[in-house]
Amino acid sequence: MAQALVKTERDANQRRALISRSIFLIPGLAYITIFMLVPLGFIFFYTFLTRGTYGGVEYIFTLENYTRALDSLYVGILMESIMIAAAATLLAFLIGFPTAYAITKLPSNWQNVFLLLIVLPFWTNFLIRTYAWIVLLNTQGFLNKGLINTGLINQPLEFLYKPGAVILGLLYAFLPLMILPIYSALVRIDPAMKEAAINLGASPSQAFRQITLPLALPGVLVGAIFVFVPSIGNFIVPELLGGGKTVMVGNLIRDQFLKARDWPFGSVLAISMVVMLLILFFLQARVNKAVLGEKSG
Amino acid sequence: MSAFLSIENLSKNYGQQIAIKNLSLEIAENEFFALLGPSGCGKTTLLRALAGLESVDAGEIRLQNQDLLSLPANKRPVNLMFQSYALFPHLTVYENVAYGLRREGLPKDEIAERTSKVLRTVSLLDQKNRSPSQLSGGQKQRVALARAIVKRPKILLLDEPLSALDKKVRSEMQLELKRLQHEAGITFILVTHDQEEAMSIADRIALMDQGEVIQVATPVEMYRAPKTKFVADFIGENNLLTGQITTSSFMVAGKSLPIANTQLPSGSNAVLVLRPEQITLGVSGFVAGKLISSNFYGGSTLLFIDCGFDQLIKVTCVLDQVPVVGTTCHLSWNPADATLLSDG
Repeated sequence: MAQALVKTERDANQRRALISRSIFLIPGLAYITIFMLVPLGFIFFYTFLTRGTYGGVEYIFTLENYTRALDSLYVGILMESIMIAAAATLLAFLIGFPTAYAITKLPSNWQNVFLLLIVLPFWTNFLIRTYAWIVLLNTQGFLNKGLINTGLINQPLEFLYKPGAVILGLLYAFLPLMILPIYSALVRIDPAMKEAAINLGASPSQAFRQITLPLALPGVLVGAIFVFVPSIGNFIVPELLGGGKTVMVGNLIRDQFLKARDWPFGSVLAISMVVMLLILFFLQARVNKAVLGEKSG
Repeated sequence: MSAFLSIENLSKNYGQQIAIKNLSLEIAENEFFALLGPSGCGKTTLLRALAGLESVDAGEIRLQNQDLLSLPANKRPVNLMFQSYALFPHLTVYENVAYGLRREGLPKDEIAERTSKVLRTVSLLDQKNRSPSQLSGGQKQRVALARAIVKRPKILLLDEPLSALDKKVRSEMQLELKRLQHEAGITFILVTHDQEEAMSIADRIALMDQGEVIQVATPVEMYRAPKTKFVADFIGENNLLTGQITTSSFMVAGKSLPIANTQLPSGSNAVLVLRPEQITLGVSGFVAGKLISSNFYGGSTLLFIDCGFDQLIKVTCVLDQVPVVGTTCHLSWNPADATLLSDG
């Protein structure tokens, strides 16, 4: 009897502690609900409706928007978007990992200086930075002039308005988002890990591949998502550097809402992106758990 | 004929800071050796230099007459158990222990056999498929130990192996370490700042301070015959009375205490070293003072007595003879038991 009373009292205490802790979650939860989940709910609702003549929706149920999304034209655009975003992500990893690794090897006060330099481009407007690439890459641009002056080419090359230019633009725009999480994963690794591997007979390169790299994997995955997600939905870079020839799914969605005035179809495309990203997050969480163990997963 | 492991004139500086200063040391085969000292005394640097994780500026380390310093860290027959354990979080207990054997390129069944055997020795065979994050502190430590001894190194280095464990697990692990060392027939070198740990576990201790070895001795020798004031102060509870030697006695704060024969010249400054258990209470004594407080430690009680010196005198006393706080106590001891050290 007395024990049962103690138990209910303890439960009540725990409940109270839980409630008081949850109070701090309210602003964040409210923000996400009002500005993210509710609009997403609207978008999802629109996917089953019919387009209005001048934009908007008519409340007639249909699944046609979904069947239309399976058209090879749109699947092709989605595939190309995935390829472009994946290429930008891969390149960002190949450049970002060595950069992040090199920064961790610097004395700590220099590490901060270099991290500041990495985020420095963010202080300039994204549009302006992307425009700058046009100046560099166009047929009268710095790159072509330089190549002609050195005699490597006679005719200016067309760098712009190709997938390669879009990949370059995305890589340039989002590379810092790859470097920072990898850096933070690398600095968190206990230096004794690598020493332990070497002490147990691993060569420095084995220790790097078998210990440092797997332990940095969670950071790599965060970086990959940070680059891939804004890349695949981006419509500014394909517009400016792809010249409208390279259409990515982000451009397609924007056009459905603003030009074609087909809100329901635009919603289907948007929702399919969200689903794809959720799958990515799920996979990332699984890998995290495998690398860091149950507790920290 | 030279020792199993000999360290000769080893030096290491970090810029202006001296980590190891012209250090020489010999360690025998199968010895359980402890490097003891306060933090920053260079003991960990010495350990890391043995493992090859730290370069040295000058000197030699020879293991069975073979130059150890010329071997890269991953080729040395020396394994280190890290203070943080440094278990690989993405590998299972089994994979952690097998890691070193796999680097040797041994056949698969030999790796499996040796790994399982060592895991059984540290009673972790049932946990072999767990991840390190699922283990308790004591279990993690046993994995770290298993991972280091499975390679059958000539020397096992242990960096503060017990500092992260609570007191009860710690004494169990001390026994375990001693048993393992005996069974495996491996030379153990342990680094610790905890003198009790070093005293209870090691065959011999090197007490270090500021990059130098101050005294190398067995625990009993070091307790009984400290070579310097630093050793006397660092090892165990002690009363250190600073004063001056006269022709027949020792003058401390205006009081004259009896001494046995000493090599130290009359008139020189010295420190009288008196263990708390060497002092007895009686109706009369060499000095008297008021009992300030008593600390109960179970088997014995430590009394703090104010005799007018610059410090309170510590005296060990059995439980049923503890005087009431405030009473005057008379202290005496056998002058031959007390050690006199020159105070340079």
